[in-house]
Amino acid sequence: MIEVSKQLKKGVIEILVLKILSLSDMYGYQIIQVLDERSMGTFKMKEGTLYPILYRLEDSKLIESYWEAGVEKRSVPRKYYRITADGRLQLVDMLKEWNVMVQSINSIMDMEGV
Amino acid sequence: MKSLINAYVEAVLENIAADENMKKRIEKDLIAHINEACGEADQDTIIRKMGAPKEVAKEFMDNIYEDKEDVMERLIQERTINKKLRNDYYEYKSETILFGLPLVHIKFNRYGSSKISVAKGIIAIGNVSVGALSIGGVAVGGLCLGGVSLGLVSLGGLALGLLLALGGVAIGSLALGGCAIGLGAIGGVAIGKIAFGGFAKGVVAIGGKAVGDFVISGTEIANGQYVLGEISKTEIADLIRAAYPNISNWVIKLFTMFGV
Repeated sequence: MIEVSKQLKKGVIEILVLKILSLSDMYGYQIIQVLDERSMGTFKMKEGTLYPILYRLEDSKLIESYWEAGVEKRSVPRKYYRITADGRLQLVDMLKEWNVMVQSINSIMDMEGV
Repeated sequence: MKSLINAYVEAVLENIAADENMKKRIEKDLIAHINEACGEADQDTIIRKMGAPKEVAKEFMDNIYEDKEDVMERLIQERTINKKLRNDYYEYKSETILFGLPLVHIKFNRYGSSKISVAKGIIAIGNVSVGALSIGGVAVGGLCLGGVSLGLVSLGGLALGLLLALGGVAIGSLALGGCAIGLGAIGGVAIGKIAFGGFAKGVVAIGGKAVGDFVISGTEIANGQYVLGEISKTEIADLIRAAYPNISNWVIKLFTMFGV
């Protein structure tokens, strides 16, 4: 059961990360927090899951990163991620596909005795 | 002293089988991540929450590469690069510098590399060595020992010495060897101004078979076999002085060593 849930989540995490980065630039820890809070604990993402996804998105030029110093004195710089123009286009495509998939899945799930 | 964060990240990386670039990337991001999280809790709490290094590493390994083929390809690529970067030679250079050269420089090829390693130092040892004391396959410098040596004083298979050469084939002011060619030559075959040997050819020639202007030659006992009988030191000295009246005594002494 846990494995099923893991695989289902894996399939959508890239879309979710792109989606939240389309709203605002965020650093890694913040992405994990936002995903956790907004999903009410469904997407408790580990570092070992998030960063490889960020690497893939960054390598595909869908997101990019930059370092920014904290506001407070002696605070360490944070690595922020932001979505690129290509990333936004990709997100639109992904959401379209996602909607089609959800509709298709629902239509199957709504089936009653054949 | 290593910080707790660095030690933790290092422990995670130890359990990750990935190429070096990926490891560096993870290292940088994990350190940044923990620092980011430290805004909300202390380091200990954050690290405890993240879990055992092995678990974190496993999670990365599950997600880093799309498939096993990707992992293998990257690791093989890295191995190839490392092999290229690996030094194809052993090298030691002493920290002491004299006249702009290391006191000792040792440089040898290894791993069957065909690159030429040149050692340059006051004392140089290598495939090719250049130095005041030079030892190598090809040795060049002051006092040289090598397969092929070229210097002031040279010892080697093929020795070319400005002052003295000793070797299988020796060429020098004073040459001693199987085949010796020089102003003064002593050897199986000796060719020089003053030559001493089995076959000697020179202005002064002393030998089993000697050819020259001032000659002490042996007797042919069989076809091509010569025997040089006992010669006195005085005979040798007189012969050399007859050819070179002003010659230094040390040259006379050197050649009269062979007399009785």
